[in-house]
Amino acid sequence: MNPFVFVQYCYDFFVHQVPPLLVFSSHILPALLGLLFSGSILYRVCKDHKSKKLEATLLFYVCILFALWSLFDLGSWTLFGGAPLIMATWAPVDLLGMSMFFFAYYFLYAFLTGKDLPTWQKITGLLILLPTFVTTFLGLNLTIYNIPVCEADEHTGIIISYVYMVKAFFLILILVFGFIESRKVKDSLTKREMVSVTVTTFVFLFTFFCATFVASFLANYEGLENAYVYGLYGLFSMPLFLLFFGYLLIKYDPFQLKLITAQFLVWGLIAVVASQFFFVTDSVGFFLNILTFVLVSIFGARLIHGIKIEISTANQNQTKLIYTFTHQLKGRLSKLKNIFAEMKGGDYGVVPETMSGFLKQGEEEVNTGIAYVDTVIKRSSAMTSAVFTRQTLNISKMVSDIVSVLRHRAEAKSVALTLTVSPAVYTFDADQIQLTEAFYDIVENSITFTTKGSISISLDADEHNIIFTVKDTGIGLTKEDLEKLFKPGGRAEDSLLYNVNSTGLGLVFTKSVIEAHDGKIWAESEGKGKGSTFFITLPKKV
Amino acid sequence: MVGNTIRFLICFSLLLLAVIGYRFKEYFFEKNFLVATTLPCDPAKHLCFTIECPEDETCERGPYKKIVAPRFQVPECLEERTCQDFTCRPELGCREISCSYLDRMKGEICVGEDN
Repeated sequence: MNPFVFVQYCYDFFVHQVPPLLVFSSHILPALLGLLFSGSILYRVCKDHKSKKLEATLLFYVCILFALWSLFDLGSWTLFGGAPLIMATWAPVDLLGMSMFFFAYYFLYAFLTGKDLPTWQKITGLLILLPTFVTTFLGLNLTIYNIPVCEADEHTGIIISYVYMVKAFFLILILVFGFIESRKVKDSLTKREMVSVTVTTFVFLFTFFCATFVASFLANYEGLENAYVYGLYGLFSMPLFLLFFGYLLIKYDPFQLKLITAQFLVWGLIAVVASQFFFVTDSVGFFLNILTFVLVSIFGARLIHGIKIEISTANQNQTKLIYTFTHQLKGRLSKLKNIFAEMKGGDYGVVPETMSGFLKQGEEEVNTGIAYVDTVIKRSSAMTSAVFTRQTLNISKMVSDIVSVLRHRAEAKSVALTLTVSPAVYTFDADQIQLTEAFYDIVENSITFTTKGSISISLDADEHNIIFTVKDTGIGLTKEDLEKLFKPGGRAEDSLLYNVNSTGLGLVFTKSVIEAHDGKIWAESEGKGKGSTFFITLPKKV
Repeated sequence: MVGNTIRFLICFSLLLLAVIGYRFKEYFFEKNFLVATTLPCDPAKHLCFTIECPEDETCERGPYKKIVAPRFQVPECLEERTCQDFTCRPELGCREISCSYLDRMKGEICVGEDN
């Protein structure tokens, strides 16, 4: 028997009860908006390796539960789909709703404390949900399907009362927990942010609770049998929640996603205005809606463009400032290093025995300072992919110089370092400091991770690219290493055994510099202990 | 921290899917639930339900009896209210409910004789 049916009698009954468009739009639109919004936040947070991944994951999960709830509740509203569909979709609705309340609390806990929910609270939450899991599994929450009214009869006793009690419990918990946590914080901005998120979450759930509980409560009274219909408007609490949450994200920017939030709000607003076309019945309303739609689209686009420029300018200024400061600082420290070296070498006369210890200490401090500044420069460049000053470079000379500087390091480890340069033209417009640093890092990396054998460096060119290759017989890379090698903190599995000072940013910086010069970088290895090869290609001038 | 949460979310989702899946199997595919409906009733033979009609109104609905049956044992036409000659067969789990004080809903009264 085909379980999908169309019951004309119930369809007429349904249309008589409620506008079908209201049912569909109230369920589908909020669910889609929630999924899109939270999904984009999670995607960006994961992609950009930002903090608050836990909070973004939980927000997304709450929206998934809301979307599932909407989908199943919609199933129970579509009376014409037949009894099997109504029973199957209606049965898990309460369980999904309760789960959403629990995970909304979980999200708020993570957001306010920055920690995962303690295990005892997770277990307690599951125990609270357990009775509804059992009654849903056993099919006890729906007693019978009533054919004349095209709907299921819900259990009216303790089973349904328990659902509402649990939801009310989580509502109170959210409010109390949010205010207790915010009282612990002294910083007024953080306090305001915490209170706002608590109130927003509470209002969203409270509206949702009212839509289901109050509507079903009122429906028991004579003359208010159709109160369920008003409950549909409660589903629009999700867009309201997203609107307030979006406002908070722009104001406090906890996920550092000001731009994406603004984009979402504008698109959401455009979608809401566009959906009004389905409800407008007269020509004046239609004209006004077209006008609103056009204005919202134009001003929304301008708003997003403005925020993009603002962020881009702020980032550029910040990067330039860091770049200038750190390079100035590095220059001063390098001069100081030379002064120490000259003093130690006796350029200013014989150094007394009592002073040489201090000079050595001073030189070490300066070296540490230079290394620190180098890290800051690399971190800044790695995050921004900025190229500051371009000039024509001879890559062949640059590579030869790097090999000369590093040759003694390889020889000290009894590792053979060879350079092969094929005849070709190797001129390239580049930021000299950054590109030299990037190539230097690749060769230095190979020396660090090669304890015996050889390192073969080659420079070659084809019709379109300059190709730089560094092949070593070092510790090699696993498949997992290769996947994360060029990501922040994505150092190879055993790298700390060979370089305890590894920040995990060196290759991120290199990749960022190469890509800023329109080049490519990748690594290949046959596995652990089998050496590795790094490739850099830079596009030739057309 | 996120790893723990994701494991918890996956376990919870699987539990949720198991319950929803089982309900779908029972209700949607096997139609294993009870349905209640009404059928025309002859007051000369049975004690029937009827709607209490206010004196100044005309009520179109005639006497009826209530039946409860497993959904998988009744034909589609019952749900679509188009069955011409449906008979409630107790051996298939179908149960007829005659009008009594306990089974009456608000606005319903009993008419006819109990044979």
